[in-house]
Amino acid sequence: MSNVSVEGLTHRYHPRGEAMLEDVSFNVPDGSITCLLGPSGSGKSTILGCIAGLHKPSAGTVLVDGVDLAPIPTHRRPVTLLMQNAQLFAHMTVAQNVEFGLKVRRVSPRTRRHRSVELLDMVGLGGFAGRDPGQLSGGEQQRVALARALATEPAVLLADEPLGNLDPPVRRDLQRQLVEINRSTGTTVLFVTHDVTEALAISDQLVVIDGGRVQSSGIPGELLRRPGTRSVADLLGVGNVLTGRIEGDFLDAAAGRFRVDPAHALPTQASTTDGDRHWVIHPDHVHVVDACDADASTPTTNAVSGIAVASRLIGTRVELCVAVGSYQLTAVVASELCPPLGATVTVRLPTAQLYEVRP
Amino acid sequence: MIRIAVRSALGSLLAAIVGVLAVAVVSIRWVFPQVVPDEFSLDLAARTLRSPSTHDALVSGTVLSIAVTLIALTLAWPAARALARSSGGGQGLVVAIMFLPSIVPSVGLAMGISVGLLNLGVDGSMGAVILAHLVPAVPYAVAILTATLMRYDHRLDLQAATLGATPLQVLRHVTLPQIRAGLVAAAALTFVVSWSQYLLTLLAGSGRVITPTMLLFNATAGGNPVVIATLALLVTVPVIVLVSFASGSPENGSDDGRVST
Repeated sequence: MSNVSVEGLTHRYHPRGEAMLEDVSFNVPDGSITCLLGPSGSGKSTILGCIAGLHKPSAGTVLVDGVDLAPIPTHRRPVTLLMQNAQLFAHMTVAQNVEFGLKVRRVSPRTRRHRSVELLDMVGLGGFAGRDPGQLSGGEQQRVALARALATEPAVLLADEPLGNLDPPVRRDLQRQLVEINRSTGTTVLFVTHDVTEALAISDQLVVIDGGRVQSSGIPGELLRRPGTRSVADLLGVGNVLTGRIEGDFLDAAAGRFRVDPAHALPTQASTTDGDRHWVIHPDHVHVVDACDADASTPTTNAVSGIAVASRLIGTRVELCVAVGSYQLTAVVASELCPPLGATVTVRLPTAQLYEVRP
Repeated sequence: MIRIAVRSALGSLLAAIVGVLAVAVVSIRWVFPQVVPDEFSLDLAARTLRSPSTHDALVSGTVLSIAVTLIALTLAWPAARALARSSGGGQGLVVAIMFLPSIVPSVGLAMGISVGLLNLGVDGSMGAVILAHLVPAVPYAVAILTATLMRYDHRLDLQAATLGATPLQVLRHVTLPQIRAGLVAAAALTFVVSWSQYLLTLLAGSGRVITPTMLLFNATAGGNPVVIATLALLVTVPVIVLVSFASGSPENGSDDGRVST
């Protein structure tokens, strides 16, 4: 179990070039899975590269258990990197791949063999030791890479979109396996992904990166409710951004007049130059009153009527778009309770779930 | 298909040349317009091969070419790595510039190098000949290694490093095994370039470093046809074997075609 502390990390490929990372700071707690979430090109992989020693940061420090990694060469750092492509060594068997990190550390062949058997069993590839990597499917290759990365018992496992190329069922299976391994071994994991669903499925903590900066961080559930900024809200799929002026405890937005909780306002003034403020609510928290609410007969505060204009099936639930005047609100509703398109529906936005974000 | 046809044609041509030489080696009194020689004998060929001068030339030629190969590959490795990893393009132009000395007529090049070595006071030695051979050999090594390393996924090296491998361990356990085919091709062709040099060896070695190629050229000036054929085989067979070996190596320098992700 180890913690990682990234402080003020800045990285430029050229001294006078554009900063790929700008003053990035966050902590990865002991034994947690922390996801770096952000769009492509946001700098997530560069952060992993700086921690692994593949890039030399222009400024800032990376500490693992309080030890500064800057003077430590890549091969001596207490981290291993799991890449997007499994990067198995084609001239070695599966077992030799898993044993590689131990072999270069001059661990005895007997111990190596024992460890590779143990790890291959753990990732569900018990009978694959003698196979060539080319004989494996993409998911199996990534499992071997995971076993290889864990063989040396790293303090921190850095995972750079390792499941990005896999089919959804294999991906879900490996996500589950990664969480199980994290829970059973206590290995701290820093996992990079651009997939919100994946990040929410596996992470104990989310760090949202965009434009080379940390935009927001926190526990996934909390971050979904309180994304902090509008861009983070967009990235997390919190699609309902209500923009308007605050009058007393009410927000006057295009979609209607909603009571807001002053405690959910940002501590500092976050209005735009024209005085507008932005408040968000996650689609999961928008109640389609007519369809699913037991209190449908008495919609009161923060209820507005609109027309169901679009729907999209997500597993057993439906993402429903409701046009309220010129604004479209998104709600998630059980598929069997979804109103037909064109129907007039009432949606309610609970005050407790409305949070202010920065523009 | 075209490749197979070209290889078949070249193979047939080489087989014909070697066949004629092989017959010539054992032929006694084979003059025009006789279809077959008067008699066959291996005596003269055997005596030629057993002679001390052939033995010495074979040893010095082999040592010379192996040394040139090793040095050329060592010099070419960092250059090829830098070229393969440079993102700006223009690698072909750099390699072409390295080949410029080879475009110059060989007499001019050999004279120039010879004068240079003479000025340095190192002509006439094995070291001088090695230096001279490096001029045409290094570009071949750089070209082949660059092409090989451009196809090589260097993230494998990074992966190995993050697993705890030192730079030397990365080279030994990952890079070299992965680019084995390209390395073999570069070594084989570099050896052949050195092995087949005549003028450079003659001028840089001041006639004191004798190789099989030099014996062959000397023999052609009025020598016995059997001796010429025997020495020609001695020079040609290693070249054919090495070129066949190099061209028969797997196409992909990284050898990692089996890995699909």
